Amino acid sequence: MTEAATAPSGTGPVVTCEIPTSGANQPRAIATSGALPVVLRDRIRNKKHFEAFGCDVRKVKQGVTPDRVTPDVEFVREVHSGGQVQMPDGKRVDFWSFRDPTDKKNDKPFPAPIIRVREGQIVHTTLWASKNTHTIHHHGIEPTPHNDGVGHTSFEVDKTYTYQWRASESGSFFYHCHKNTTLHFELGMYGPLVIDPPQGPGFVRRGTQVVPYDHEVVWIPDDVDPAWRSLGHSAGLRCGPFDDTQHMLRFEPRYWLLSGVPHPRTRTDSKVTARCRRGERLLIRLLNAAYGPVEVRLPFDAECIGMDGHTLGGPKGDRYSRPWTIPAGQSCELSTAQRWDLLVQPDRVGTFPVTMDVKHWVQGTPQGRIETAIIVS
Amino acid sequence: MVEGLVSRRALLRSTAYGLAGVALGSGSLGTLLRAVGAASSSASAGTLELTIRECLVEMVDETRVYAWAFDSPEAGLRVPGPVIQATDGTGVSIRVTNAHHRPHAFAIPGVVDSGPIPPGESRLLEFTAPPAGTYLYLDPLRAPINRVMGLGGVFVSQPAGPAPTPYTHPTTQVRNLFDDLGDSVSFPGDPWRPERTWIWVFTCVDPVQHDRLADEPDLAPVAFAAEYLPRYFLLNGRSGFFSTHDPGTAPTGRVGQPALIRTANLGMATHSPHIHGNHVYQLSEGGRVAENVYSLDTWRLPPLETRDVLLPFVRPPDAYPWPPSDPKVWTTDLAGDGTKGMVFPMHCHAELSQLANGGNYPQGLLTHWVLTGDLEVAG
Repeated sequence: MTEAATAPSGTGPVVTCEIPTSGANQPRAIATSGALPVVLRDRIRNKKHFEAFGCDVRKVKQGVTPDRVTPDVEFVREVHSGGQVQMPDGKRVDFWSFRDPTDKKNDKPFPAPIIRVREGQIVHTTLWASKNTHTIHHHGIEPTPHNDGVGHTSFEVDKTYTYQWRASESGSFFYHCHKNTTLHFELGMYGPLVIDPPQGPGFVRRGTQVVPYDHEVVWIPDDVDPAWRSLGHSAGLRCGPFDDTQHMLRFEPRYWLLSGVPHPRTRTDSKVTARCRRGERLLIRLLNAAYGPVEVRLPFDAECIGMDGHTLGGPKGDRYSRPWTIPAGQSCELSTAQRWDLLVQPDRVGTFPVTMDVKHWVQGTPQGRIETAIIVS
Repeated sequence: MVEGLVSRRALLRSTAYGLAGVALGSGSLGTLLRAVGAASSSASAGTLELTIRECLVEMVDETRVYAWAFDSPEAGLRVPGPVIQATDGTGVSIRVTNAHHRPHAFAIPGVVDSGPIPPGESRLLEFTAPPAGTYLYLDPLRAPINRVMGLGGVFVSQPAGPAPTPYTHPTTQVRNLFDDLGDSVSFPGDPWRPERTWIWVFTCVDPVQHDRLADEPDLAPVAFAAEYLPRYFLLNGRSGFFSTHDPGTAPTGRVGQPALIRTANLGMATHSPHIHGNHVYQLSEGGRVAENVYSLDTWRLPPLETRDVLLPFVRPPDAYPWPPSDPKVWTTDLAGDGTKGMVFPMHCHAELSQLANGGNYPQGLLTHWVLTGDLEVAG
């Protein structure tokens, strides 16, 4: 029995039907009379490296931000685990998230409060991890690994760390904890992040122009599995033997939320319904925070002007794209963490339904529907 | 131990069957692509031999799962199958032998289809390589079973002769992008070079359903699919620590060395690959070269689809200050996991895929890309 070898790197040797390959770097099969051959995984050659990547990543208590400067704008985000949302069946479901400690009126928010800055600003986001370790990853923002907030490529924060980054380009982003992300993201540790053009809120880049908009709504569909609320902070992580508790094997969402509001309250709750006058310009910032794909249908033609925080046809590296139109009633699908910025200009007065079908993460079948509305006066 | 595994699996683990290993060499995908590109014009034709066999595949936590795989003299037994490469417009010759006890087939959808190959028989497929781009090959029988059990891979068609893009028929915007790579204003550094190509094949494994096939070879595809609950998520057949630390999967380079990444999903779930550090340009969608080339940090990758993306290897645009004052940033192992340089992850954001057997974060579907230095200034 030979078990020393592992599979070749990457996709392995490229085989070609034109050029017979031979010589060095070619694999060798061992005769396997009567028994099934085994494609072996790699062996763990350095336990320390393996654990630093997985179950025991580096942690810092008072992390020092490299090249720290005085920022143009700063935010503090403190981890909390006391949020609750009352669901349509009356049950209260727990959420963890981030709070702004200066906002005494809103000490257990979900989603986390928005981080909103302007293009060109140097930003500090200071994480207070409270209990245990967490991180903040500014999704779509691209700083150095020190400031990227990924435990397994940098460090987890045991107490506090200030992430330093520069808002190079306006658009829609979000931030979330990137420790044991499967659990922490599901439990609500995310919030929106918007970079406005230099003119500030009320303006958005559309191609090479900056245009005003009249109203704005941030729609974040999410699928919620209440059973995961009983799991501990580090559920599933274990060093030494692999974790075989299978705590997160099944993801069976029961509730469908839009920006923290459970369906069907989403139909009328003013936190999520979009309101404007006929002819006004409404900017919809859409983020899929569900683990399944989300199929969205809007009652009006929508012009997609930005994707993943980048302006279609924008002035920087985005000149190979252009805005495109989603016709009214036509479905469009966003996979997890994708963001689309949509401009809508309603031409009729009334209440118009918006639907978001959240699909099963494996089967792709619709599982839950979120309904809200664009109310035009 | 995975719950509910079938009897044959237990037998396979026991001493009743000897378990033979397959020794496999190593090779960098980038190196091989370069070698093929350099030699292709003068090479003589050959027939690629692919043999379909049953095997066991070991997961990141050492669980062994029953699988069906393509075996080839060049690449050995592999799940997913080896990358098959040809040049646009040239004749391709592949002989597929079915060494399994069930019927199988080989198809590149839209290009060639062997039809059913009975057990013990072979089919010689001769066809002309399609326009340059990324294609899937798979066993289309009893879909999705045969593909998901391991019988699938990526077929790459290269442009004939030197070409500025990876396509025979690039769109205007794809051509514009590639023309700009290496331009001192837009993308200082190098133009794209074909050897800077990586391939990411997304697959998943439900050991319960896979092992079930050993005992119930007639299992209905609809039952297989309906009960399928993936527990392992793999990139090029690896996951977690091993896919992040695999140079054939994890792109590396300096600022100014753009890379093409061909992504393909042979699994069951829609994936949502998210890359840190740089946005990518989505070059193709649904088998077509993109006319509208979006700059994305997350792209939708449904089952049976491919997306080519261009990772520009530009300076992380939101880093401040740049360059960092500490020159050791390029040689430091910040996370302590053995990787030096500026390390950024690419992971699927449908986060269930970040797990292995319902836990063990992040031993799921992810890899790294690594900046090893800033832009190299001539002189």
